[in-house]
Amino acid sequence: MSLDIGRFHQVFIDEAIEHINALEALALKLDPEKPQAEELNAIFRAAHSIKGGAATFGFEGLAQLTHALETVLDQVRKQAMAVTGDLIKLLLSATDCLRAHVASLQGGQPIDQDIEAKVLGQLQRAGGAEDGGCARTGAVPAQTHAANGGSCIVVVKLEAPELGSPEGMLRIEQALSGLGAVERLTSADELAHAMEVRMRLTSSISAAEVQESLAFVWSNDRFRIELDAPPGAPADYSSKPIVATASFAELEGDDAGFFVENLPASLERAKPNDPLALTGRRSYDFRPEAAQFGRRQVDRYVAIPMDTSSIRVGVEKVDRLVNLVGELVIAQAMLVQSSAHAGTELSESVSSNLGQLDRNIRELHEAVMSIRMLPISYVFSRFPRVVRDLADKLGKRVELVLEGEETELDKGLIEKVTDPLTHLVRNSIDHGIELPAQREAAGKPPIGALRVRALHQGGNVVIEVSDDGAGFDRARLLEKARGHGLAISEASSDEDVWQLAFLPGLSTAERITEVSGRGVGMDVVKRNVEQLGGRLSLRSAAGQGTTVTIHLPLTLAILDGMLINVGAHTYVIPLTHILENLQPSADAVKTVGGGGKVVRVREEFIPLIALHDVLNLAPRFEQPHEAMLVLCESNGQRAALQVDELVGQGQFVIKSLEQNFRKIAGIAGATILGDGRVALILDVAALLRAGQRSEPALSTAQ
Amino acid sequence: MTMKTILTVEDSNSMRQMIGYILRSAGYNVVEAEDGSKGLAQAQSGKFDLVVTDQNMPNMDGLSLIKALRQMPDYKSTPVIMLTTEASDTMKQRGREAGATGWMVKPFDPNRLLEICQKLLG
Repeated sequence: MSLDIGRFHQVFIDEAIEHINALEALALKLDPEKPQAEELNAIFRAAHSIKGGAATFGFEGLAQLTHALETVLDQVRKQAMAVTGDLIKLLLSATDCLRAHVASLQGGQPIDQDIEAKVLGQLQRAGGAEDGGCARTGAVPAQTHAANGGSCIVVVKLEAPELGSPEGMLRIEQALSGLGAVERLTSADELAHAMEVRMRLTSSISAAEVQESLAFVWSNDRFRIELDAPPGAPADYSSKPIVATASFAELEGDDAGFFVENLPASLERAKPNDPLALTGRRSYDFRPEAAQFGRRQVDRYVAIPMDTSSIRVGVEKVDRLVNLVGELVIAQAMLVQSSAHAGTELSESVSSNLGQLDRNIRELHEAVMSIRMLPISYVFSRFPRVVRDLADKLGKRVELVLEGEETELDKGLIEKVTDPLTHLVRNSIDHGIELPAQREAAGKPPIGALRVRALHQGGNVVIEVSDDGAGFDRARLLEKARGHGLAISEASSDEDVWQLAFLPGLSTAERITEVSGRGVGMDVVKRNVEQLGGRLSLRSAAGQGTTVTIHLPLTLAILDGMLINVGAHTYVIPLTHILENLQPSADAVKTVGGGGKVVRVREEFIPLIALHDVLNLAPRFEQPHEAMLVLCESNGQRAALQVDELVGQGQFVIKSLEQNFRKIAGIAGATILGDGRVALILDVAALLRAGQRSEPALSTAQ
Repeated sequence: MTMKTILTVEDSNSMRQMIGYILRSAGYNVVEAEDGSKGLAQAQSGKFDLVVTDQNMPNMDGLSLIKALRQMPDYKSTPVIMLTTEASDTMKQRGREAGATGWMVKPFDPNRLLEICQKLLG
């Protein structure tokens, strides 16, 4: 019989990442003044767990690092070593090193051998002589397997026509064969009911390069690269016969043994070896050869823990479910609409049953969407480290307060909101909170307060980043704006002045710092948030601090929008971009040089974009004063979109046009309306950008 | 012959799944538990022919689990294998006193675990 424990590598890697995160969080919490025994134990256990798994699954480099770390932590926990600032720094650099190591095992950047050797050396020195024979110096053995070529497992999702078909598998095999030798790991029998196929690819290029090459063939959500078994000559486990008839004594060894007096009476008691003689024969070696086994593919069996309160499932399975329920919602809406047309012919019981179905589907929809929800602590948990490192570097003192970490939002959003939020946190420390001396001079406590909180508000998630720092400098913003050729009235409200911070290139930092101000600033953050269907606002008071508030939808799959008609077609404009709707008087619309039009709204001239021109449709109303204008904003630019008719607001399930058809400039996606028609969702940002290029920029009152 | 049932108690996901896989591949029925106290609850609600438990776990460690099992009439003589990363004399002595039937050092060769389980299951 052959056992393939390579299938658990990914589980181990996921687990190791969790432990590394826990390690880091615990290290950040450690208080040198009064370390808690409980925390010290937990941090030791995290390192211990990574080591155990790494050694079992044959990841030597990782086992060596965590062993050195564990040795240090063991002494700390036994109070043989004090918790000092330096120790915490060492623990943090060790977690960085572990994280990089694990990333490289997953096909990321190759390991930086120098850094790893340095950290290992530091840990071993800190661990001291107690480490005995286990401590080894010198270069770390390169775990180059995943990073610099070798073999990896490519898992490819099967799509509808390929499901269960040998041709589909063949095509996948052919696509991979250009990169190296391919070995099928999914058998013909398994293929019949498989959702994905597994192939082992042995190649001279690294897993990261394999990933890159395949991205040209398949979309990123169609395939993934998994870790293959670690290097080393795997002994073929199957060749070793199991000696079921061996006696207890014969089964004993350095790695295992029996306590003869505890053996049940029903079993053979004869056991010539004195149990005490078995002990202490060999000092414990944390990297035994035992970690290398054969890995021939046997029947796939996914072990589902019997009594865990949660299960891990692939995101693609959840997405499929979300999609199916989306379809169901649409089918239901169509049914309701056609029953409305049927009028009185429909019996009352049918309509009441339809109402019941409607409620059930709505609940089902909510339940399914909630599967994708994750607490925002996934993002927040990285901030203590960011804040600590940055404050250290800048010589500032910052106390971070996190609130509402349990607030849940869509996994896709969590991933995409991480960068903008991190940027805001860095901004607050870099540009907001002052140096301790400056703060004291201004009569503030030397330690700056940085608060990041999340909460649910209606159908939105609100995230706030606030600091008690210097706040925005109104005069300097105005000056900068003028320097960029923007004529801004001195009397503008604060609100309007703060908006300037979102304009490209208007970062107010006096110098370009290593940290945040590098030309990419608030405008990028704002654009990222808007791409997620959210909006961003800013409050600031000179000397008192700045608060940036982000409103996000709960999920990326549903959009609040306005239905509009142009000619015979219906489109959706995302509500986040709409400022107001209006019908202009004939004299409010002016034609400017170059044929472009502008419309006067109050005292401001705003470029007018006729949607029927952009979309090349025959409109019902040529003249703007007969039609409706939807005033939109994106990236600080405004424009009025001319449409024939406003139909109404609603929530729309977003279908990707890119995945189902192809990308079209100016169109963000599609949705299916209640009556079964397809409506395209307009990409307002792209339309405004295009409009800006062809129209003269007129942003100020005359 | 009825299928023998093994209780595997281990806090690490990858380890627990791997042990479960090894034993299932050999035709045993396996129930998994994430720590000592959950393992004990499983033992109370079912009857197992063999218990494989890790030593270092949160909530209740392996030694405490073994001691608790030995207090239960159903588990007075059920074979229990203790997995440990520390194969010191002290640890072995503690395992013996708690009532473990055998010990095994982690990391281990899956084949060895299987041999020992098969032997203990007769």
